[in-house]
Amino acid sequence: MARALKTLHLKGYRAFSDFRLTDLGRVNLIVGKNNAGKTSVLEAIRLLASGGDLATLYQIAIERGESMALDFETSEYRRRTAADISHFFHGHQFGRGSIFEIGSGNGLGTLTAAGGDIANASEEASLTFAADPALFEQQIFDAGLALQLRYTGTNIKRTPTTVAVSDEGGLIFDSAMARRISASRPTGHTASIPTIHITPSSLETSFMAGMWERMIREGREADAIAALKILQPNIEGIFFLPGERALRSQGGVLVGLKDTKQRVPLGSMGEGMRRVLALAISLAQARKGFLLVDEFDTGLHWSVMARMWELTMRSAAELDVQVFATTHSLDCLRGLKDAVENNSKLAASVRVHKVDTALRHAVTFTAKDLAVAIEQEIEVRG
Amino acid sequence: MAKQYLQRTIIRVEGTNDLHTIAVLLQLHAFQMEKLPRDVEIEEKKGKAPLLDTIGTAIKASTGQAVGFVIDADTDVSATWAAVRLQIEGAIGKTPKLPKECPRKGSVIDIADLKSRVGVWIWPDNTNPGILEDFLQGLVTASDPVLPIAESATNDAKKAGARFKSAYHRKAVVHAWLAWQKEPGRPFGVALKAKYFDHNAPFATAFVGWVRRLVD
Repeated sequence: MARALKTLHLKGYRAFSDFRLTDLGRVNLIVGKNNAGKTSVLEAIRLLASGGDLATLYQIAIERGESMALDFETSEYRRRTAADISHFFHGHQFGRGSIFEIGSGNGLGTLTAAGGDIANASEEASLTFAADPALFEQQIFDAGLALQLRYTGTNIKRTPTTVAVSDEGGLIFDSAMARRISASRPTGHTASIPTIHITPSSLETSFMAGMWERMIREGREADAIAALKILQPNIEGIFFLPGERALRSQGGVLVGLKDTKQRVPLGSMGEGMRRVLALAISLAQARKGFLLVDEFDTGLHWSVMARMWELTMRSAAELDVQVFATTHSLDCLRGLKDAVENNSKLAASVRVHKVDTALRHAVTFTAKDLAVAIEQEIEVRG
Repeated sequence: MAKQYLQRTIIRVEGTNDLHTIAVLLQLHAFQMEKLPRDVEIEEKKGKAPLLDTIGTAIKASTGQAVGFVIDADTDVSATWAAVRLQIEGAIGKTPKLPKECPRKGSVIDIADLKSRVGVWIWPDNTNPGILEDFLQGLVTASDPVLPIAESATNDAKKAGARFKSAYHRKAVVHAWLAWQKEPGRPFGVALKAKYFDHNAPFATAFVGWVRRLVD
């Protein structure tokens, strides 16, 4: 693998004070009790792959509902939504001296996020941003508190980013700031690693239609169709109906089959095909990067679970994608076990990792362990 | 030493006879033991090889548990112990806590990284070759008049062409002995409960002592 993540080390990140996942494979399923931090692990990978991109951090917070309203008293009273970044830090507090670190042990680098002083930041070789400079003067930023994101890795160039944060940990990020940040990037700044993140809400046709359009522009639709063929060998094409219909949940996607001119609705091809399509498109888009799937089993009937895993394992190998998925479902584990039994060569790079905030290290199960656990009814989920 | 993080105790055994023998033995000793911090669950596999194969995975999955494994020595205690060690080390890496020979009183080790505990007992007594039935025969009082008859009758039967394998000699003796008890032919657990076997014999108290260390 060109950029395999072999180890992940989380320090002070969310519920993890000092936690490691090692022996990461090409396809990784993350299990653990509720609130064990499974989603946090996916997020940490997203942040690391983005190279400490502020927009990604902000987006993660907003997706989690971690936001606060900041009121500005200017001549026009303004209320802005800010991300509450305190929850990224173990202990849910943000201030000077707060720090979290996401490390990878190899060339994928280390990301450090630290609370500091905006005054000190200008002494370092970093780019400093505030929300709309006019807002910066507001009392909310009086404390001079700043967040600094620093990313280091061999072969990867990044400039640290420092941004003013409100006294309570509120981070404002908007398109104007995004433009300023990218305009200030020095040459040589490396682009982030492709990372596609699927959540249960990614079943929406509008989400898929957007990605499909990108794929067509990049000439990559053959990859997605090849992935779908693993499940349905006679599929030859995918068509998103334009406009209103495409955005309505069930109607908008047609599939072209071999030897027939008629195109059939995706929904008529069986349970879970929409999810299959979302997965196939996502795998293709994540080429040479990461695919992160939260709650892999969502929308999938147990009877197609094994084939979904087979699709994932084979496409991940063919397209050079490293996959991280989470689940609570025993059916999902069973499906993975079945897929692994039918594909012994690919099985070697499959891992199940149990995450537990009481431990310092994830417990890693190989394909063989998984087979034993399912057959002997040994609970691996925690 | 009771550890806060141990929430469950599970003993994994080869088969039904092991399960019932252990369950009754623990019941009979419950009065003498202090109140156990938690119940002991017993799970049977389908034989020695299936049990051995699951040890590594069961240990990996053991966070919050004290998990014990009870296995027949068969003809070679050292080989059985080596096989168990291999499984354990496969799960947690090499550890100085596992001695080269099986400890006489059975082994119990804490695994800090997993916040769990693992124990191993090899029938009959961690030292001699044998199977569950050798353990049970050890619970027959020394002066028992019927046991020598069971032994010689079994030998006679074998000479006359009885079809049991030599490896199962002890099984045949114990079942023969049970055939002549007050209620003939009772299964092991029932016979134990009915006090046909002496549950305070040294073999038994040693075994219960091991369970105690696993649970406590």
